[in-house]
Amino acid sequence: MNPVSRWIERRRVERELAAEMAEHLAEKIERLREEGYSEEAAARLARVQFGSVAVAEEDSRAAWGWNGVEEIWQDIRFGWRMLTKTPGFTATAIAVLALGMGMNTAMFSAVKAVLLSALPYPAPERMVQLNQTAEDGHPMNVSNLDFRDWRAQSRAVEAMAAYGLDDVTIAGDFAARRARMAAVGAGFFRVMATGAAIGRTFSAGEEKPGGPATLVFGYELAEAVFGAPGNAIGKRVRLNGMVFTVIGVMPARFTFPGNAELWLPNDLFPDDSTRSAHNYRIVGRLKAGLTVRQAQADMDVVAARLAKEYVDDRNEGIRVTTLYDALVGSVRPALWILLAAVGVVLLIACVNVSNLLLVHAAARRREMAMRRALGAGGGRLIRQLLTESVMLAAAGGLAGLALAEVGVKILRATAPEGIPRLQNLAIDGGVLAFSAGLSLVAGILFGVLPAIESSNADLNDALRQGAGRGEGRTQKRWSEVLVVGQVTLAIVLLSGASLLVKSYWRLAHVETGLNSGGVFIADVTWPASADGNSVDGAFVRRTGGQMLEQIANLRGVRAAAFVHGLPFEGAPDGGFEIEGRPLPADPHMYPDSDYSMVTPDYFGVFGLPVLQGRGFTQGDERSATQVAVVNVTFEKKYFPNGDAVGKRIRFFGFDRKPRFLTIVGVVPDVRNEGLRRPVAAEVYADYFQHADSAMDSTLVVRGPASAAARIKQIVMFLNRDTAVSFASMDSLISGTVTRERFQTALLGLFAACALLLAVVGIYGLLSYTVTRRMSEIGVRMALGAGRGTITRHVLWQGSVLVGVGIAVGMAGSVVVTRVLQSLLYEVSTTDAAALLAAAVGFAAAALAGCYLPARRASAIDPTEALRAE
Amino acid sequence: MGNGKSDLLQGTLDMLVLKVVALGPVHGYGISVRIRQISREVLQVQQGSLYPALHRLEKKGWLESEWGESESGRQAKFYKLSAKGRKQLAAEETNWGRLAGAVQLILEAGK
Repeated sequence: MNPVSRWIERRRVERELAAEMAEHLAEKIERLREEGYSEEAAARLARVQFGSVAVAEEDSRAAWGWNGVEEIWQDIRFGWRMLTKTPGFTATAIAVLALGMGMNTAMFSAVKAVLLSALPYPAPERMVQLNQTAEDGHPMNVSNLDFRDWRAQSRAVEAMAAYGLDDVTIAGDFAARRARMAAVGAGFFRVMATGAAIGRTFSAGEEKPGGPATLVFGYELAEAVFGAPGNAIGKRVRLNGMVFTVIGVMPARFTFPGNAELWLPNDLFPDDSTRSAHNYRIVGRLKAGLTVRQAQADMDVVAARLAKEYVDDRNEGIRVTTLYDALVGSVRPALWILLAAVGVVLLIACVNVSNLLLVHAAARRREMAMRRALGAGGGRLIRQLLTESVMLAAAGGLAGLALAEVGVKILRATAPEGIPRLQNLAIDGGVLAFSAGLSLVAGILFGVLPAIESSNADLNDALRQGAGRGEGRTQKRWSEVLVVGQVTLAIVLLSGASLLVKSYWRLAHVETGLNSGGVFIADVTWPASADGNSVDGAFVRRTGGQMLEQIANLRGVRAAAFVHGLPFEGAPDGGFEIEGRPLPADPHMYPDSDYSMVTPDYFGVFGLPVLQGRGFTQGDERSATQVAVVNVTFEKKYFPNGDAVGKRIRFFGFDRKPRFLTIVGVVPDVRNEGLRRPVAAEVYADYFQHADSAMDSTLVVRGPASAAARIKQIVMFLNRDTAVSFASMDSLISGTVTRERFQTALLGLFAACALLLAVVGIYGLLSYTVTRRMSEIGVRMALGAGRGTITRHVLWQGSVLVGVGIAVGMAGSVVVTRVLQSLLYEVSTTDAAALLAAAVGFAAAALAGCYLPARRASAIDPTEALRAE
Repeated sequence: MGNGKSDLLQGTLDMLVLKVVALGPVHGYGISVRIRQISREVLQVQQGSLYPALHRLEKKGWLESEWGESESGRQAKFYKLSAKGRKQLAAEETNWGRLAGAVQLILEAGK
């Protein structure tokens, strides 16, 4: 039946139904009249005997199966009337819900962008990352020699490519600038199954040593540098001083790996030195239909074979992870925890609204009782009330969407670089669906208890009581239970936030060992050597020396130096031998140390005193003796007698011709591997003695920020292919903990909202209780209770609820905060001080929330209160 | 227990209505009067159940309805049995007979 004829049919049945019943009544009245009743009495009796016409009609309509839609529509219209009749209540509820839903929607859109969307490459489920694993299981990069064996021997991985990432300087017909470059191995774009948007990617001829020097640009970089991406093709670009031709531009937003802006073939300059040169990362594509587990089994065989064959691969394994896991695995726990936390905030908001509804329901008891008396069933009433709460939730959800839009903007603006894919964050269809579903669930969640409660209203009781005073004892009990629940949830969130704050504080106050205030830094690039694999050492010695001299002469500059392997940026580390001590047979057992290269004034820039021996001097550059300075940890580890000075060591990985370095001095420890990791042994070599391996270097200057412009001029005048942008050393250090700061700030924000909502909940309950007990309090005062007694009485009532909530919450926290384990730095998940701080902080805020109603109660004028009765 | 009882009643009411209507076209009020009379005042049909039942049976296609004039001269909706309804009544009667007989047997046991 089409809708129109169904509607016509329906109108007919409705009309007939009414006529039919009217006829029935008329017959009945007539019969009663015949039996001698008066007209009036007959009509009355007939109606009594017939029962509710409305119910009979409704049930008869139900037989036709139309009721569902009709009743829902009716409920909605009625709900709308009820909600608009109490605008204060409605607005409060919607505001509370909007806060909760808005935060949830924004957070969910972040989770969706980072965790739930598939990688933007064809058949992403077949993409994997391959790592070598050390004996203790920690993943490492891979040497080129091993990688080639993997590629040749794997049967499960269809295509595999190695890549490395580097910051480089590009120059040409445009101002020199820094760019993030990926040096990618043959077949990289096949693994990604992504081609150039304009032009092409590398041909086989371009992916081998000595091939023509070509580059592929990212869409955004090409746009920024050449105006239009299409203009890039055929352009010649100097990269670290070497000339490359641009042959292609990738599609917009293609930035794999790691926010790369341009790609060059890494086989132009292969590093085939040793199997312990773990320089490459590997991405692969599985054969169709194979699982990661199968690939893992396959690679295990390869690893076992290589371990037997090469001493460097002994005890080392291969780990296959999906590319998705490799990208987002590290942020997953934090994101889910944050989503759960914001869910708790919504739960607390729901409890608030639930309590509002319970109070509201008390005022509507007469209405409910009346409707029951008129024949509405309990189920029907519950549905009506639930419709109202879902409408409230929907309104809250809509308002929340507006909030979420703001939240998403804030997230996008403040997102640390360390969280992949967060920039794709948007409120899209999926997020809207989530928000709608959330509204429905929330509406039922906060509505169900009040609905059941008020549909249970005892008829006689409710009709007898005055509208304002009607309140079930159970309603009050439920309100109290809800408030306790709210406090519990808030305490758990606050505890979590408190732990994270403490952890972040610890992290931010780690002693770096550097006197970094007043030091600013800039990455510099030197022209490449002829073979492309290192830098032009003669140029570095000549020009670098000039630069430092000129910079040091600037007004206000105290010291300037170059460093390769700046702390916090990941210095290289490698194995070495100590002269006169036999080397162990297994290369994994070699002594090892971080290794960086610095010019003489480096220790002066960072205020590092020389503890033993001497630092580097100008004379070392031309001396035949290779010199080194070590840190305290190095000396303790390898020369526990404190006699490192004068000894000689030789690294294997950092020079093409490994030479012995004579240790000439010892300097204090520095957190060279970042704030989270312990200090490692470190060797400083003389920068100018090894100038031809100083590929990525940093200029560090202690001096006024006002000198930056002059320094820039000096550097760019002497080395035209370099771009200089300064940052402070302190910002570099704090930049290594942005993710921690971000998640701490978010959880802190959520906890603050939870605190606010819970306190508002307590305040609301007590206020309502005071209003309701106005006359009782009046009587007490009339009988001699002092204002202090009344205040204490109300405060006590609130404190009991808060106290129970805090106790339950603390017990819960001890269990729940365990999930934070992986996010905490040197703070236990049951850190007593942090948990106590949360409880005390909450108690203080809650007390303030209790105090207002308590004061109001004590200010009641007994005569007024009693007269109102 | 509660469920069984209401099921029985509802099923019974449908059968009674079908039976009464089978005796000849009749309107809603007439049905309630006839059930009362025939059962010698034992069975009282609540109007709250009668009309839903009538509409249910009509929807199932066991009853047909048309408007006509009642004995008192009012417009009333008259119900009559459809062919399908006749079959259904026969089935229900057999069923009821079997059920009643069985219950009777149990009640007589041990006498």
